[in-house]
Amino acid sequence: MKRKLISALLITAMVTTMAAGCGDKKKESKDGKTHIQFMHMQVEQERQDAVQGIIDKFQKANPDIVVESVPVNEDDYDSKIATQGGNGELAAVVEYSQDQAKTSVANQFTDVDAVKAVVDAKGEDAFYEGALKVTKTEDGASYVGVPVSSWVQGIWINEGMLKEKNLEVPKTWEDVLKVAKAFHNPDKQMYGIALPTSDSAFTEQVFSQFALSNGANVFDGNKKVTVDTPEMKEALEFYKELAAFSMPGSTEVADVNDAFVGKHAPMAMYSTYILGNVNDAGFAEDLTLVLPNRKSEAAYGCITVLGIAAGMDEAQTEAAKKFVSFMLEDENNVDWLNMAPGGVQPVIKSVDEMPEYTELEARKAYVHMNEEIANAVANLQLFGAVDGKNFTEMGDVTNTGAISKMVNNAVVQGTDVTAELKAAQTAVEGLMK
Amino acid sequence: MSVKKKKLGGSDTKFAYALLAPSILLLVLLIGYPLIYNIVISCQDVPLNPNLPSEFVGAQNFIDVFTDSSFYKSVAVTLGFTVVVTSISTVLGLALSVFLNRSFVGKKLVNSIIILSYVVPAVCLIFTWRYMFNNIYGIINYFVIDVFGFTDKAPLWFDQSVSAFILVSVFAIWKFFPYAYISFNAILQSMDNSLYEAADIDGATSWQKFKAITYPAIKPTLVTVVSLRTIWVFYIYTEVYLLTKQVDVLGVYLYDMAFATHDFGKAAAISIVLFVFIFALIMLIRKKVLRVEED
Repeated sequence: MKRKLISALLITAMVTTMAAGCGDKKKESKDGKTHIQFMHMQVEQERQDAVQGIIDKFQKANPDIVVESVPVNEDDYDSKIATQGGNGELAAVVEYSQDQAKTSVANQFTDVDAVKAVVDAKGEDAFYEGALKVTKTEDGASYVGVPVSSWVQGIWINEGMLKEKNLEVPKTWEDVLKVAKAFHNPDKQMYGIALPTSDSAFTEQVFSQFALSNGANVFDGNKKVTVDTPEMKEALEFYKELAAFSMPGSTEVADVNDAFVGKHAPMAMYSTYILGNVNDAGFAEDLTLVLPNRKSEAAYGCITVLGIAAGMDEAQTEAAKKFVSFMLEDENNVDWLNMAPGGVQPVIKSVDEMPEYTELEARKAYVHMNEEIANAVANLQLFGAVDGKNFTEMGDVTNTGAISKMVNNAVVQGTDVTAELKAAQTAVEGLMK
Repeated sequence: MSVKKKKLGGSDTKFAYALLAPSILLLVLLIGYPLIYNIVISCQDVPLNPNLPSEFVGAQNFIDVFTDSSFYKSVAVTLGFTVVVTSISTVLGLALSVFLNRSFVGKKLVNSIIILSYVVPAVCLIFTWRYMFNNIYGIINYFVIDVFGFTDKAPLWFDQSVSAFILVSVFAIWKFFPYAYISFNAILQSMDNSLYEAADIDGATSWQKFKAITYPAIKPTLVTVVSLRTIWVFYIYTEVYLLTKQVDVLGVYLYDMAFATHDFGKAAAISIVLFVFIFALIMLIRKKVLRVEED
């Protein structure tokens, strides 16, 4: 009897424990404050500290709001958004690239009205035009997120190496090819240009600059798929020709960075994040930035935006709006930008003139490049952004890797350019259905 | 006496069920619910956002799967990969455990070296291999080109489907064979040596000793090792995806479907098809290849 009594007690305890475990984890706030989460990609310790610093300042100014920092590794970010969004547990404020933001808006994870209210409160004139242009929603009525910073990408040139061979800084596709040919000597581990060719988003980004500079885009203004066009074919053929003077095989971010920083190539397609590494390597003063140029100049860039989650209660939405607005204030925005000096560029005009931004020691080495970087921001062009429209489906196209597979197959696997264009056209059309 | 026994037995059974009830409930919640939910969404077009309505599409997701040529390509690649990796890693583990089933100096060190690839995190090993086979500065190309001069041009190891398939298979065999080795080693260590001594007196050859003594002893373990390894290799994802984009196994196909295109309905349909497929495959291997009698 005693044994059975103890056993019955044990069973009751187990069932109670299980029931407690299955309970709703959303607890009512006992402190009477509004709790929100801020999910971001700043996982390095010093960046986490910088984000926490901004949050601490915000909480001091808004004692009735508690913001929890949720850093997530970049590789896990997309699946985290998908799973948390799918469970209805997305953080109140989410850092997105513009592609991720488009996907979130397409899935109604983002409260576009709240986003618009924050942008309007700051004033559209406060932002650089290019930053707002590429973050507009498809109908043009709102934005996929509130822009907070940006980075741009182009052809980085080691002008010192070019001078040794009496070569001019290239201005056109043909000039780039000429310089690449002059330097290419793989037996001595010297390559004409460092280009990405792997089946990755980086390859799509770099290829998009050549395609867009030749007037080719994935969609036309009516959202018709336009991958298989003469302009895109020219761009892919040129990319294939140019990649013959790059490193062999499928090259990725690290390969491109290592080749250029190690002076194994005089040119590289990379983002502004290369500036810190070049400075460490000691040739920042030799650096120049140009853009692929055929019919027009085309820079790739990423506008980092903050999304406000849809479906929250009013108090949380208001708290999220307050926090995002706080991030747009000059002194707080500078703290965000100074996490990666040189790599991250401002999207708010007034920040560009703040001494806290311009006179930062780590940024002084690139002062001579301010004009070139500003030119890149002005010439920002993206696949899926056409005729003032910003098609959200482009985020899905990037996720499926249709464009990067096309480039990798044509360049690395040596398959036929025409067949690859047809296959990519079919793949994107299939996705649109 | 028998009546009392029966009464006691019945009471104990009820009591046992009562004790098991929380665990059974937990199993139903953790395994039964996802299983049924998976079947439900396989017939739906599921949006990423749960607040948006799902659309019932009947068998359309299954039709899409069976009419997708890349699905069949993935099945073929996965089957080939599973057969190669499971058979070679099991045979290698078995051969090594039989060969090392004796006393010698440094046995513990040898055992540690053998299981190293199994205990080191997969990501560390994958990135080491990628560095070794890197097209520009990899040590393999250094030997192939600079030291031995087998070729002038660096082979693109992970960029061509055939070489990538071979390398990923070699990697998986190297990573997984210690599991078979550990399993067989545990059985062989517990076997009575007098059986082998008696066989020696009768003049039995090594093969005869393996066939008559070792094989019957290890057969239950062999069945378990082959069944589990087949399931694990069939659904392999991390090792293949991080090493190359040229080997489209089903794990990668499924991931692309669920997370790249966010087509959860189709992904659920694929997982059901695969479950039926792998279940049939395991049954076939047990009955026809390993000749296991089911009770």
